Amino acid sequence: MESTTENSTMENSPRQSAATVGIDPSIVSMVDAIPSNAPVVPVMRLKDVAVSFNGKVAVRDVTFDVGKNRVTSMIGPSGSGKTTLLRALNRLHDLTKSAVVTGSITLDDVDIYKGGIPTTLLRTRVGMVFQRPNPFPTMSIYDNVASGLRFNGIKKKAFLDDAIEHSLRAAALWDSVESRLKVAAATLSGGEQQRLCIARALAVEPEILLMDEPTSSLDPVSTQHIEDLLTSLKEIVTIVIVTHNMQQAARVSDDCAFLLMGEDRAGELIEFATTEKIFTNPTDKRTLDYIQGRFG
Amino acid sequence: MTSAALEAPRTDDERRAAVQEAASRFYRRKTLYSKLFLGATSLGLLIAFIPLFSIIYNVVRNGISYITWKFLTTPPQSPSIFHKHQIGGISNAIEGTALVFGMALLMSVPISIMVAIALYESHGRVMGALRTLLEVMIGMPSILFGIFIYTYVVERMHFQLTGLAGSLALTVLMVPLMSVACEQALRGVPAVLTEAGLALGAKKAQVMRKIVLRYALPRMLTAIMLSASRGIGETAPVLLVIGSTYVANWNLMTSQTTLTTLMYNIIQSFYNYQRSEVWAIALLLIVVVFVLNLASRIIVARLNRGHR
Ligand SMILES: Nc1ncnc2c1ncn2[C@@H]1O[C@H](COP(=O)(O)OP(=O)(O)OP(=O)(O)O)[C@@H](O)[C@H]1O
Ligand SMILES: [Mg+2]
Repeated sequence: MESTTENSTMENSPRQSAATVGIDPSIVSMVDAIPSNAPVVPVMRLKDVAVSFNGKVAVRDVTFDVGKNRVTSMIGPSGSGKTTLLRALNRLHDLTKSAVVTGSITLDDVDIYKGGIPTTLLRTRVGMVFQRPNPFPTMSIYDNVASGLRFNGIKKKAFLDDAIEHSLRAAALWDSVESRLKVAAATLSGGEQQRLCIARALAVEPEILLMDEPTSSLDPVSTQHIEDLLTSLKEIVTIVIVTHNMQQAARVSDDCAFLLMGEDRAGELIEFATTEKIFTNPTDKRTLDYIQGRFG
Repeated sequence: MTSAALEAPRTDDERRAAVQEAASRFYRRKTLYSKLFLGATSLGLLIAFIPLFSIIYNVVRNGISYITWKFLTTPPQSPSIFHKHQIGGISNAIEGTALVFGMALLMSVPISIMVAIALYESHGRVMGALRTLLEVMIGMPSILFGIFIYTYVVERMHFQLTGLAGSLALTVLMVPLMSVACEQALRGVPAVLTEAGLALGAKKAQVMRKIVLRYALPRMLTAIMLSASRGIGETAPVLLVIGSTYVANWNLMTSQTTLTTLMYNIIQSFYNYQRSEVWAIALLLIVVVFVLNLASRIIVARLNRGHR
């Protein structure tokens, strides 16, 4: 599939074009009305990326750039390879014997699969938040957030204390856990646990944060918290987020990648553009069908 | 069967009535079954526990009178026709058990943990075969391990029977039990935790130490405890290679007597009173295993406090 990588500004106003193609205006109104004028700096570039398991292609033909300090969302029906693609970005497929990643993924122009950067260092630069909150159950709140730093050899208490407060504040969790940092992480609510996982990922100061449906197991209030968080977090970190929630993609992301299964049930990138364009004036008919809720 | 259930129902109401009717019939039948099942289970429990309780009852009844401080702390003596009660104590066997079993634990626990990690980490055919081999070893008659150690250790040491040989026999016996059970414990660690660790830039060894092992620790302790209880009660493999001694000398390179080999020896005594001493030793073993069990439970409860 052809995919576009440029982030051109819109010719028409979002609402007008949405009306012409018949998209629910309630979604369109959520699109960040003011497109940022800052030039987009690509920090991670994907070119012809494909992932297969046991020789069977799960996702292919993925080419797009992840813009620095932007939120890039990945949408598409179940099984279209969003998770598979996301996990290729921090080499988490290395664990799976049967998985093969082809094409090129570069971080600051270094190919992450060609030995240019050690995998553990890559993962400190490209962090991840999982679909279900997965704090380490044997550790306290403090130790959870400190874990990434300790794994990377940082032991100084003063440094840790400071980093932990900073990350918990960034994850909007500090106020509610300040007094019980030594308590087991499992005692937190689901939403708090997910914010703890965000703090844990942020503590190692990643440049990119990958998030796989981070709010899908959370209630609306916790979801709201995390969405608000994303908007403020992108000042310090580039975010790639997988979501099933169209409103969420429209609300939080700047760019959007739409994936869909082809005839052989392998996922492929159908369209990549600014979120504004995807939700108001998509190039591909299938993108339009999907955001109008015709399938998926 | 009612008419509603006989014919294919036509309306929603009929369908609902048919399902509810069937459900309540099934419920009545099910309660009868559950009562029968409960009866059978209780009977099974009774059959299992009658011998268990009668063994414990007899052990305590026959053994408790022997147990004094002197009995535990003095070496055995030989009774005679005139001094049938002059049997001395069992300090040699307590020392021997502590020494031989302690050494066996010292060897088998680290080996088993390493084997468990290797089994957990590898996916190859060789390791698969090794696991099968370990599982087969669990089912082998334990005297084989004694014969094995006799052939490869005792004979090489000019037929000298030593406590160390006993420790080795117990190690060979316990390693398969411990390593297979510990691997199971490691497999119980959720993959999402491993992934979370790796996604933070942790190295594989760090994930193993700080996340996987820590999470699996309570279950591993339980597994080690159970295997150790099995080891401490073994007689056959130890008997063959360990010899016997009357003195507590804390030397692994000489013959040793353990609680179980002492039992085997005195049961052949000519004197009634000395023969009945086995009850006292059995009582002591049961208490030791019980205390070990209790201790590990307390530790496991502490480890689990606050999570899961
Ligand atoms: N470890 C694996 N081994 C084999 N096949 C896999 C593996 N992981 C994913 N797949 C396959 O890859 C395809 C894409 O799966 P993926 O989880 O990426 O979809 P998704 O877009 O994230 O779906 P969802 O929205 O339901 O999370 C599926 O057909 C899935 O069966
Ligand atoms: Mg997914």
